Amino acid sequence: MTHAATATQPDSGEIFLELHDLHKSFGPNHVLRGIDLSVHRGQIFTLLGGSGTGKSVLLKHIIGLLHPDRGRVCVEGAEVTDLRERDWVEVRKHIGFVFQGAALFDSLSVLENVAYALREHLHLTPQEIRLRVAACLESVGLVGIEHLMPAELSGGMRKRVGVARAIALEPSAVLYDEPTTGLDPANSKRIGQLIVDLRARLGVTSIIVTHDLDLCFAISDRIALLENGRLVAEGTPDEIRSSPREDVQAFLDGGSDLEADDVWLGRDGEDADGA
Amino acid sequence: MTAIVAPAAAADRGPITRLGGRALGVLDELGQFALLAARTPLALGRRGVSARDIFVQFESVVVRSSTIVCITALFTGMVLALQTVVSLSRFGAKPYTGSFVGLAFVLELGPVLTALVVSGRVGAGITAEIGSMAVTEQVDAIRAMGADPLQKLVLPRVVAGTLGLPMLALLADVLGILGGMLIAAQYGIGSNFYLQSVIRVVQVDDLVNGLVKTFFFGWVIAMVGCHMGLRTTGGTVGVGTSTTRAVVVASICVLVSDFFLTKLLMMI
Repeated sequence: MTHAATATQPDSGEIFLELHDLHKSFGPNHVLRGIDLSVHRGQIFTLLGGSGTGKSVLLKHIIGLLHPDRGRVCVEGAEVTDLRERDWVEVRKHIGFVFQGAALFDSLSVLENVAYALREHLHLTPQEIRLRVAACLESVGLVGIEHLMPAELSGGMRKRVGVARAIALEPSAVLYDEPTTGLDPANSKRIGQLIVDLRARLGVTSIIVTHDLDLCFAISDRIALLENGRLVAEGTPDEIRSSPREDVQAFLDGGSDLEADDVWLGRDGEDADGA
Repeated sequence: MTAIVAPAAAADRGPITRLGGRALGVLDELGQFALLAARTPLALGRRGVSARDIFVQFESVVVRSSTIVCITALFTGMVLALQTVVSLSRFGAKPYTGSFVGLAFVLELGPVLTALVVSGRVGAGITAEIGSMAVTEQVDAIRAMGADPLQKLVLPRVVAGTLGLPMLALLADVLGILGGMLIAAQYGIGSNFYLQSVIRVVQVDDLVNGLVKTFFFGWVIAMVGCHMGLRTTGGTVGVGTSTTRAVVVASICVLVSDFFLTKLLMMI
């Protein structure tokens, strides 16, 4: 897959996010083991890593859905590590979050899902809300589905509605948890283009957790690789590609989880039989 | 990996350690419940609650539960009258059937039966719905959009449960007494006489004491349902487990609190 949006644009240099020595455990499972990371405003930052390495956990710390056992989280220069739940509201209004499984509200229509944050935080007329929802849906390639319920959507459509919902409030940053998983190549490309467009139009910072190497190398300004709860490499796409580290090259050569699954599903065995 | 290691680790622990672990687990659960119970009214004060959300939940608690509550109350009233009329006949006290059925329903059967039926129907529904939302990250999505799950999910259900259960209990009182009247008539107790004996014995205080308890029952059923739902983990299996636990815990809370509330109300 080749993304049309390969051109990147220099970020502002202003730091949007800083993580210092972030640790998180779930029972005996030490998921994050001292993450230090900074993301500049307007940057498209991609976090790579195998399944279960803590990428989604890290992403959830940025908007306080999870709280670290140790370490600090700073968003736009302000420390948010110990904010109370009610104080997170102001931070979350400016950061959109695309969930891995879309997390659409089953009991609400597509319109109500995308309009949820608008109704919560803005005083818009029903007509204004409808127009804004339609514009968000159109930007992810969905038109005329406002009346549908999430159960009536395909997996890919749900994912795109999730993206539309995350950008409805025109946030200054969007966090994407596997934004292209389950999407066909054309729609993966559309999401990639949307991420780049958001940055170009509104200066939106994007932090992406993904296995999609094509998307990652096509649109990212910086890439980090997470393994065993630690960042083992960080740099520009070119720096990551040419990294001398074996674990980085092993991850890039291994490609996506889908390819790994193909091996498990017996592709090797079939080859062996054929041979 | 955790699942493989955990049983081995558990086997290494002694019985006292395991007992202590369970006790800590129960304390943690109680603490989390207390926190939720304390934070819920604060959310009401902070951000209010949508009348539409309350209306939707009210419909679920009162309207959709009314059929099963009516059937339960009617047939319990009938069987109670049947047993009572036969038993009291042995002592020549058959005319007191209406008084007995009326008091039993207004003081205990109406409130408690309604609470148990609602904990099975509404409590389970609350846990299943919120639990499904928790395991599919919908609760996190509410938080991620700067909204409050307590205000959006918990408050409307708790308000509807607390205010809706007394209405259902009143309905159960009426249906139970009428069910008894149907049976009493077949044993030679006229409807007028039956109703007069109910009115003569059942005081307004009795009705109020019975209904006061149902405010608490409705609150505890909704709170336990929400608490179990929000704490759900482990996918669809977790939702099933939480739902069962919610019904069991809410039913036990209703039965145990009934005794203490009754005792308290008698002292007032």
